[in-house]
Amino acid sequence: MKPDSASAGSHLTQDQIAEYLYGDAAPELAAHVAACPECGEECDAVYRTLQLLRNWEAPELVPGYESAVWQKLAASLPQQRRAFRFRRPNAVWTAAAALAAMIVVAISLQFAGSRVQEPPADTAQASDAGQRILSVAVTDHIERTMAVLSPLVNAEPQHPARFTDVSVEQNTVEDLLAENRLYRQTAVQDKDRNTAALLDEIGQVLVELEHSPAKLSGPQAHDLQQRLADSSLLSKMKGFVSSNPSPGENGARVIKL
Amino acid sequence: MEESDPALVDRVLNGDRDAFQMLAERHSRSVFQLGYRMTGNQEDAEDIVQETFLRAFRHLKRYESRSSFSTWLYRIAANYSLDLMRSRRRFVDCERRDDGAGWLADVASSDPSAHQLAYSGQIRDNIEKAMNELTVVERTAFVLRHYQNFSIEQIGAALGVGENAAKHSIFRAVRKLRRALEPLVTAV
Repeated sequence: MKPDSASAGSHLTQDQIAEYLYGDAAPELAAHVAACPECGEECDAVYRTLQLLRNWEAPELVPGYESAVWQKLAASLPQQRRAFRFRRPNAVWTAAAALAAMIVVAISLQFAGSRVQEPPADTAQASDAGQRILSVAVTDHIERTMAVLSPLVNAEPQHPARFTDVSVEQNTVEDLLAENRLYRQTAVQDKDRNTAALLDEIGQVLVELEHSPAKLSGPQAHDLQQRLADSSLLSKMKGFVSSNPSPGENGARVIKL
Repeated sequence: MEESDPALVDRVLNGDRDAFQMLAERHSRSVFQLGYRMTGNQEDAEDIVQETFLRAFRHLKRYESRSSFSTWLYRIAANYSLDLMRSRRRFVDCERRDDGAGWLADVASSDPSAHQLAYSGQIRDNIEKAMNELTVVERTAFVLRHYQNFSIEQIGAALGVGENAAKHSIFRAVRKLRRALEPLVTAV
């Protein structure tokens, strides 16, 4: 066996041999091992020791060991709340879902209308269902729009030199606008003038908010507040919501995804 | 196709406990192997498996997917094994066996099948005795380098020492093992 220290003259030390065998050695060590029979022999002996150790296995584990590990582990793991990421469905998809539901109702309405033998009550029921779905969807949309606009209307008057950050509201406005357009078109087609007019008004404010700077100056914020107050838009929206209440928990709120 | 470890980690972080089950089942055998090589004891190895996965679950947010999940897991297992071994001081004052050739002479007289069985059992015993002669740090460094293919840098990080110290721990371990197993290697 080779000495441990480098005092062995020209031969490699044990450390150098280990370094060589683990592939961490400088190239000149490899050249020395190739040229020196004594070091080559020692390398071979250390290599065989390491190979012997390589075959050292832990005791054989029983089949199903992994499941047993998990069973034991599961009982000890801290309870973790399922952190579902509740992502608000894209407003356009929500609106599209509402419209799809309406189309289904319209088709059943037409189908019911074509079946002349059926009693007229069915047609009326289908028509009511279609209206109810649209009403639920629009009410939901208006409630969410109110949630965005109310803080702006009710904000304390700002000093002219201070700015109001509306960037968060603007992120939501884009979705609300797309949704608003779809519902307005549907209301127009449905000849529901009151709803169409309200949605038209909401749309104008949303467009304005979407195109305003992310940080409103004091006068800009005041101007927006004033116009919202003058148009009584929030009161109209509240009026719509109260006259079209969302179904309670037992109601079939099919649109809200 | 089998889901990758980082993908499963993401799922666990999003609250999916089943994904952690998949990770635990995928890696429990290799963590057991590591635990056994670190401690030489089956019960300790099982304890290491449990504690490693518990710690991994608690600190999963700290895992960075640029390194492999198994390496991260082995590091946890190695650290826990170190704590365990240090607390028990199991590897000091081990009786050194210098007559390695003696047992070979004993088993040589047995019939071939018994001979083989005894031979492999004796090899295991000798390796375990040789491993027990190492200090805790030497053993950890050697196991991580030799069986888990950790780099010197990773071993240093796991042991909380510099690369040079990590390297010399491995060298010392190889020297001691070479000496302890020399009769066996010569006889094979």
